[in-house]
Amino acid sequence: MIEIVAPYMSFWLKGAALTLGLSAASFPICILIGLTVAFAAVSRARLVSLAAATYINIFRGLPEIIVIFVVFYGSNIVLTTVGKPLGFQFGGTHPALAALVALSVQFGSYAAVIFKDWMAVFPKGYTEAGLAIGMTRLQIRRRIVVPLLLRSATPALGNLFLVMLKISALASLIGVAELSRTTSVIAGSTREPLVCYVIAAAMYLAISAVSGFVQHRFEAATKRSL
Amino acid sequence: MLNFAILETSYFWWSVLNGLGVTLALTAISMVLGFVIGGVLASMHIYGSPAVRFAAKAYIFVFRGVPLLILLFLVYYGLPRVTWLRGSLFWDLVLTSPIRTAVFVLTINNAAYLGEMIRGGLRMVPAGLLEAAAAVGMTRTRAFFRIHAPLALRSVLGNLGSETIAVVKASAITSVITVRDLMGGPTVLGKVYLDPLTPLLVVGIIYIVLVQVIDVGTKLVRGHLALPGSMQAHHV
Repeated sequence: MIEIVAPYMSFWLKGAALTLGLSAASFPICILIGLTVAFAAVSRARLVSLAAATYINIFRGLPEIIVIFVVFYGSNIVLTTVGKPLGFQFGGTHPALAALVALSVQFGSYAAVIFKDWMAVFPKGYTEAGLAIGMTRLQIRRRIVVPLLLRSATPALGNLFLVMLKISALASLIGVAELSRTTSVIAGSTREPLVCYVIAAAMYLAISAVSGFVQHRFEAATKRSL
Repeated sequence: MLNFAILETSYFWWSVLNGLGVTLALTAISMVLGFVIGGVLASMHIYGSPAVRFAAKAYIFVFRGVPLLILLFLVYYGLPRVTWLRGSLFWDLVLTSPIRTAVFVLTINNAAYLGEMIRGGLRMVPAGLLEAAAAVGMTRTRAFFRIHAPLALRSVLGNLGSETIAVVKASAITSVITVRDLMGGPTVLGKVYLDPLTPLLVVGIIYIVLVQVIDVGTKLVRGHLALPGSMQAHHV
């Protein structure tokens, strides 16, 4: 059975690389969104904190599969409708770009929750020390709060990355040629769905295990430097 | 391009209502069954021999690491190829319908998460309380059901709520194996009406409301069961 699927291995590995690449590309964006929304959530301006809370609650409630579809179909429809009167022809959203946007926006809200929880227990002494030596609020945030926040949230962010790796499988449904998509294609052409999906499962486990190991090393390193 | 004609048909709203029922049923069944299997996994982990503990760990590693989509495809498209399964109870019970396949996959996946959660809850109960139970002459079983389990359950109540939310959201993925849940039913109609977006927006709003309801429900139950003093449930 393995011989039948063996010729497809390079195609498969390309898919696996795209799975890893998709998550690796959207993760920094999601952290940036998370930090911004978390700071907005604790802002003194009512409107800003309300907007942040709304953002968090919407994406906490929406299944990832819906967000991916809405970004993909929605951007197509909106850009086509806007493009027509302006006289340009829109060729359709690139699926990988839609998946990248959907994952970043959704996981940005999850990251925001993580940062918000850590801000609630952030020691007041640090910010007071910053004020005492004459730092501005922006400097305190950039030089004290953000680095410490990123460091203490490392385990939670690592878990978030593992979740994202698995959720990114849903990008296959809009046609992104990542690991799940290539597996479906290979399963279809070899008529060996069982073998193919078992191999795909093993590949996902391997990617998760390696990422988990890297995360572990990273955590150990950040702990040492603290 | 954008028209909302689909919203004026009664078919659509019936499919939404039906789908909501299916989503709630999928969530409830896989939470209950997953909790039972998760409990078994947790006790294997805590009380088992090294081999048993390894088995529990392996189960949790595998089913937490593989995407739900792959698991669904594996069971739905892959397992029917296994000829010796034909005619078995598993075949008749699980593989003969998409919705039962969905329940099965959601359950085994959920059990891995719940197993870890239950284990964490059991470990969070202070040893002194269990020693006190032994000191007043309770048997181990009685101490488990009267002291250990209730306290552990209280401490993981918040996590149980977020796990329920995760299952509600994950159950939307079962639409890919033709389950007509809140996601599946209305979006199939959307394809008929050549309008993929409107059904997604409508059910999206319903999912958001559903999750808020679960959130509020969890908070109410937690407030009701909260104990004064040291055993405050950890906020997650």
